[in-house]
Amino acid sequence: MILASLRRKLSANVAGGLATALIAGSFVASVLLFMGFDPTSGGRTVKLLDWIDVGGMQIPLALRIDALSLTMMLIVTGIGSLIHLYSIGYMHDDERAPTFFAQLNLFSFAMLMLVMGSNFLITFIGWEGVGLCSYLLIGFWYKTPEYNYAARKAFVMNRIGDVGVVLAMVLLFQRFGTLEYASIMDMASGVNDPLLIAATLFLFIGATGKSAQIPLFTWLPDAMAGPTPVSALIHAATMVTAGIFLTVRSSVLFELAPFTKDIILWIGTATALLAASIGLFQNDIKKVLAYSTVSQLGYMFVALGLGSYSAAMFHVTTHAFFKALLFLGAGSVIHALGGEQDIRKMGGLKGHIKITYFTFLVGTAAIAGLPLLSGFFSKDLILAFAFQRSPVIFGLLLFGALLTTFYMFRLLFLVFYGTYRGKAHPHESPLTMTIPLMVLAVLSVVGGLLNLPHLFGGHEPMKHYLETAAAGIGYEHLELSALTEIILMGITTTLVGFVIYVAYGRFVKTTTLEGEEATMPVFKRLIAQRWRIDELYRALFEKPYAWLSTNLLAVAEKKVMVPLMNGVGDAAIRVGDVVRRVQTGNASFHLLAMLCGLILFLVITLMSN
Amino acid sequence: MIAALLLLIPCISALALVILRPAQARPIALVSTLASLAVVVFAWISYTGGMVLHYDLDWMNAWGLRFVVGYDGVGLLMLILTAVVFPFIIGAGYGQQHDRPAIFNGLLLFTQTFLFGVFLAQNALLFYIFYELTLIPVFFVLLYWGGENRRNITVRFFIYTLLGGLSLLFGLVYLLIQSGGNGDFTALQALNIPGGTQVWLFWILFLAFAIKLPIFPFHSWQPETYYMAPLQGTMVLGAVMLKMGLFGVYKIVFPIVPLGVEHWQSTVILLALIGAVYAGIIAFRQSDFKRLVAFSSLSHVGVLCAGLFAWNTYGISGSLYQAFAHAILVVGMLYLVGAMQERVGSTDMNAMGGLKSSMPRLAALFLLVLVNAVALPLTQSFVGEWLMFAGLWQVDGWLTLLAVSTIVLGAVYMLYAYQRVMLGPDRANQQLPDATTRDHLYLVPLIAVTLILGVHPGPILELVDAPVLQLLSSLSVN
Repeated sequence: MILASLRRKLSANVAGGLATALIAGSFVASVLLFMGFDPTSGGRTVKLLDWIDVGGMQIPLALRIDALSLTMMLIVTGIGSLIHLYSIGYMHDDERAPTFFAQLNLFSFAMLMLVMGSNFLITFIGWEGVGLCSYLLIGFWYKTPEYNYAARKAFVMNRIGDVGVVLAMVLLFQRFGTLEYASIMDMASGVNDPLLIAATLFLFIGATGKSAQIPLFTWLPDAMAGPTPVSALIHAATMVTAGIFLTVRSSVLFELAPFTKDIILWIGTATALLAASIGLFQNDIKKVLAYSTVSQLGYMFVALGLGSYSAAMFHVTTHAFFKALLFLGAGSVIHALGGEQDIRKMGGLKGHIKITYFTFLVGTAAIAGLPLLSGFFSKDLILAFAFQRSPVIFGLLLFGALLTTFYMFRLLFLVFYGTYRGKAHPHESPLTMTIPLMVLAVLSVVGGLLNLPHLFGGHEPMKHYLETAAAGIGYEHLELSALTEIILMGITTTLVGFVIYVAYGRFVKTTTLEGEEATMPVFKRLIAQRWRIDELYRALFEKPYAWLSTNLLAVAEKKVMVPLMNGVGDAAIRVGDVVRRVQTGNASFHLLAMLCGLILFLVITLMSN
Repeated sequence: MIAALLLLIPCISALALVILRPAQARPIALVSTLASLAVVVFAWISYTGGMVLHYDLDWMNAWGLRFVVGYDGVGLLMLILTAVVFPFIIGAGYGQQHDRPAIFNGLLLFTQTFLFGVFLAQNALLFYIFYELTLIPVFFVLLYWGGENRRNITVRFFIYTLLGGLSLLFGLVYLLIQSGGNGDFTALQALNIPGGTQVWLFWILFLAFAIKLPIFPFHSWQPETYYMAPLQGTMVLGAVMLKMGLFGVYKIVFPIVPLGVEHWQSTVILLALIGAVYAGIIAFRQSDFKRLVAFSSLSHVGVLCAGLFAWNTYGISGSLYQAFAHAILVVGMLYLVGAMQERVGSTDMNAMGGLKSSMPRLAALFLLVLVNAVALPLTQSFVGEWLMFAGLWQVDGWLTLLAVSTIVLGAVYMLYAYQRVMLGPDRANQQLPDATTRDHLYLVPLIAVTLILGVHPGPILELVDAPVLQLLSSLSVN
């Protein structure tokens, strides 16, 4: 049914074609499963084999098919297929393309394990598996030391989060005696236990690693070292949403731990704003999108913190559409310019690469939340929930949304408008690359229909679908009046429009490029330098760790432990010398030992008599 | 029959090698280890549970020494581990240049004989004799085939482990007196030693195993000895010899001084985990590949020992399972050290880097060994680590946190090592040979074992499940 996508090394195109066919096959299988699945049944579990079975611990290798896993499967395989197709064009000239496709397929396999696992430990297989693939693909061009560093950084930061997941799992196992989602959620309902706060906090630590939230978010921008399709698939559409998925999966537990939800809410808000602010002054097209991803993930966590799991999943879905689109569009731009990523050396490209331009425009409009596009519905839903909770949070998130609009339109205008400032000869990408762009553009436009609110004549189909799998959704209530909702949307849309106008004036009428960082005012420079958080982490963690590593060996081990051992050894030798003088000749150490034993034996025998 | 074969096959082959010194020493040794493996596999297939006793003969009864040999599930696991690993240890010699290969391989086979003896012995003195006998061939292997400064390091290693052995002997003698001269494990386990005595007797018995493993702060002989020893010697020490320590704890310390264990449990876990973190941090800045493997092994062993002392079903089964995983891992890692040394001429990672371009296949094999080292799910190590963490959690949350933190440390030093060996810009004028057929023959089976037992750990877990439950329930009855 769901097949591990096996890989064989073939020529670049054949490998790409095969890999695409495999993932597309998975997509078809997912669609068939989706069609044949009756959400009212709740879901079913398919056991493949016994995995760990010892001393009363039974953890089977089992998959769970329900509304939530099906939704994620469709996203992973659907967008995965498009990105595989795109990669055939993008990686055409790379001699290691077969390896690339093998790793991309391995990633898809791991990601499917993650979303389909019927218990925490199976999800964890996928969780670590995607981490490994992410490591491999970020460091795909392994000859550049910075890329290798970025890859290691991603893996290690994820691993720090994984400590949280492991602890959450042992804790839950200890409390419930099982790791099956269905059983735990059944047993947990109504339980009031401080252990659940600990468990959910641990799970959230894992989520901050995988989904790049404060404090573990700095790996994601660096992860842009990987080929652009990787950024689109792993670092935008799928893997980074794993933290949100896991939270929705365990929604029942989080509903029982309001304290954790508050933490999530504030971390999400802070991440959304921090990352959005950094996005304002970046000059690398992929870095802008990376910080944008971090920021949008923050919005999803805000939704989770507000207890609006369906809104989070809705935003996961629409974000997958438009952010994959934007990344692939960026890839197409980079491809067109022969590898250039600095937006200061772009400009005026809309005439050269029309399809890319138009689809990128759609993606930008969707992420900014222009009315009736997918991002409009999903983001407004989160904003409405925020308003219901507190106008302050609403205000902060609205501010973040305006920042998003600004940096995204800045990107759009600087890349596609004005006059070309580089030296390459832009050319449109091949069809394998533009077809995915067009499909994703359509999805970015109509994606909102998936969860059309009552206000627009819909009945939130996605929410009701997911409710059958994630019981936490049953607790969410949006009780704003239609009038309030309309006013909120009005305010948001007006301000977004205004920001676009400002950006137009600043980047199209007059092309404002960022100068050298040294010439910036202090505060702006701080933001442009990403709040110097990387430097902070380096000074706080990396350097002290290296220092500790060196000195534990040089001082603790060499100056204390080894002399201590030698002292004991020397003492033994001296004792040996004395005994040897008593004996005649050269007894080997072992004989000496036997002798000592014998003496001891005699002494004890005598004493005990 | 099985026990006799296991003791005789390597012993006779070893004698033949040492006395006749044939030219084809290595293939003979290899065939001998494969024959032992076949015997163990047969034993495994025909094993139906419980304790299988093969011999129960009087010998020097006055001294409490009787020839009682057999195995339960845990003993069988150790036999399997030894039998599986030894062909690889002998096989690793194909890349190495030795003088007097007949004697060298003969000594390795003697070691195997004694190791089988340790895991088969059901009499405490018999156990002790085999336990100390393993030191002798290893002593000569280190002394004559070791690297720089071998004399000094070997002597220190020898004295230090011998001191532990003496302590164990002292403890056993004390126990013999208590039991009226009956040294069989069954008799010693039936003793009801007063709690106050158990508190100090624990350390008398445990010290030998603490040094053998080794755990912090008894570990300082380990890094230099591993580094200096010839590759195959390090393999013997790291893959099999240290498992005697785990086995000894399981076989002697747990059943005989349970109250002592209860008293010292958290101390030992804490020490072991301090060592695990300590070695894990040091490993990061090691620039020598072989030393890095030594510290990495030290770190893993700390977690192994902590898991064992969690002293519940998950902890003990996890630790024993991980013992197997660790043996496979150590052999694989050290083989890679050897493979790099053959190509680059040293184990210094500063002399490596950028090698993936000329040896993509070896890089891929390295990566597959590495995923086991960092215990990614679906590798053997993950099963063991997960069980140990679950076991430790029942003891203490903070200790668990300390143990789990090693998964971060492991990722830090392992990936950094991989980068320094394989990745980075190509080195000029360096076109080194990629993985050979021999490398594949060697590493692919190891990786296969890792993955198969990672997906399907059942056969091994079944072996340890019943004995561990039995041990724990017998303790709670007492």
